[in-house]
Amino acid sequence: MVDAKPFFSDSKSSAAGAGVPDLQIVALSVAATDGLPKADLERVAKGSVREIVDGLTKAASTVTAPQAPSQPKRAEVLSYTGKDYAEAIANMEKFFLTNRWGDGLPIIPPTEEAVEEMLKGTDLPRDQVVGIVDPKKGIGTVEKIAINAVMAGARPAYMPVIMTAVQALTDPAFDLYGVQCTGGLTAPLLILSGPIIKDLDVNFSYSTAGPGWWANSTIGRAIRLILINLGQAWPGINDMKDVGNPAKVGILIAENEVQTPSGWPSLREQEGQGKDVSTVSVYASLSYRQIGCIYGDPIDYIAGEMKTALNSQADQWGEEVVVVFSPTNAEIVAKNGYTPDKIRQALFEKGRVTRKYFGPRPLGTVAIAHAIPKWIDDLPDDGLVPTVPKVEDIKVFVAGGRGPGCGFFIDRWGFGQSHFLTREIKLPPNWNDLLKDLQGWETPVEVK
Amino acid sequence: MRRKLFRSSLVASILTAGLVMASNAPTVAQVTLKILSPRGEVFAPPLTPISPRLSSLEGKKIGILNNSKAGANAFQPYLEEALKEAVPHIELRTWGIPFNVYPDKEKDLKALADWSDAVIGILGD
Repeated sequence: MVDAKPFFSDSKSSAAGAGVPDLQIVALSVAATDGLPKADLERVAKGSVREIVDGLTKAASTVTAPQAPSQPKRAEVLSYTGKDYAEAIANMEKFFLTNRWGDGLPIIPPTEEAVEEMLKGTDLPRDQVVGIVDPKKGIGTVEKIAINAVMAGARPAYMPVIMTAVQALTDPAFDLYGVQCTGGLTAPLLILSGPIIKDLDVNFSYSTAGPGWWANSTIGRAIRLILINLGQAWPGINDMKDVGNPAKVGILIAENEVQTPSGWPSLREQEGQGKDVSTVSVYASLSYRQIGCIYGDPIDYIAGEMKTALNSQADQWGEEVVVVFSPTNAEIVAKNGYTPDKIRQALFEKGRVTRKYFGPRPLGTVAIAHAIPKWIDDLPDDGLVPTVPKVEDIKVFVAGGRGPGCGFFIDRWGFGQSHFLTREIKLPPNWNDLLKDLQGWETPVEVK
Repeated sequence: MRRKLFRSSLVASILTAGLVMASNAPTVAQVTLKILSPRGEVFAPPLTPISPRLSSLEGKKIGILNNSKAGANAFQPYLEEALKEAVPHIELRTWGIPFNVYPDKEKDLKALADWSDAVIGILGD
């Protein structure tokens, strides 16, 4: 295998994860080949060919012995000492930092007592596997999820949301491996819909996407810690995002059904779930573009953002996009007769780009990889290509507070096959008792 | 003699006083924090050993697996030229097989494996 220099550790890690740890990998002397002058490409190729030939003709210097298959085990107990509790915690924090087990923020120590308390948030046995977390295929047991939830500062009542999110993230349709390891600047976004928002005092109003509420912040953080500690992806090792994404700290947005226009179905109903249930959706978000309705028709504005977001890269085609209306935006478009279905249809029609802008002719392997239908590849230069495969790929809901009218158009990672997934949150039998535990952990939510 | 005795008993007294002071000195308390490890056990996949190496690439059929991203496409022609210069009578053929899952992927991978004596993968971005 031939790879650019910065990706060498990523390739070794991927090969080991795929069961081929002895794969011979040659690292080129450059960080990237795309855009290099011809003379440099010639030099790099000639400079690497000896090593490539040796990789195919000389015996490997090491041969990895087979390992016994892993089984889920009870979590190991770790000890940290100090002259007092503060010093012991500091020693724990330093260990976590050195070993890349944390997110750079202070951690709540996951003592046995704290984890037992967190496990009250579920009726599932502690060794039940909720999901296998890519890229390292960490076994995501209920116990391991609870440990990371404690570290994040979550409350036991948040466990149903966290476990359901892990189930969705580890669904092959989300392509967590790609999302964790890609160089594309993506991060998972969680979206909550349903009665659980009120139960858990999740902020659905002003700055739902920002800090300040225990549930929003710690659920998002728990997911990030799970991706770090169970998936074992780490920047520069096997997570190759150049700049990263602010949403990687863990972001949770909650639907504002209180101020959704009358007659508009909720997000969970649009996703085929019942009105009386609660759901969590996961999405491989890329960038968050502000949409407003201060000047002109917001639908035209959003359609423009859809076209720009595709970025003249046909290999971003194939995944969903998300439109988050603030209550102010939603009021205005509803007065103009729009519903989520009509918004989707209008955006599908208006959010089109020319075939010439879309990509090279022919699209070649990009068409294969992204299942781009032949009729699109065959369009004339001025023919129009929809920026998503189907109308239903445009997700629409209301969140945030009633401000000047600024929502988000959130575009997709696009270079893999990661899809917007929605899962029903199942509640344990002791749900009402768990909610009593939340008394005192609330922050008032401003609804105006 | 009396001075020697005096000196010996003085030294003994000093030593004894030192021992008493040491045993009465306050010890540094140690607190131990015990936590559960957050790291997941890794699901170890079955190992696939690499194929036996060729004695030489001369006259061999080398398949090139190109993941079809821009970086790989940019580098591939130069790699082919460098290989042809370095290895006499080498035969090269490229398959563009992206990472994504698509219906004929297994068929394409099999065709690559069946044709090739060895495979070079170019992993671009």
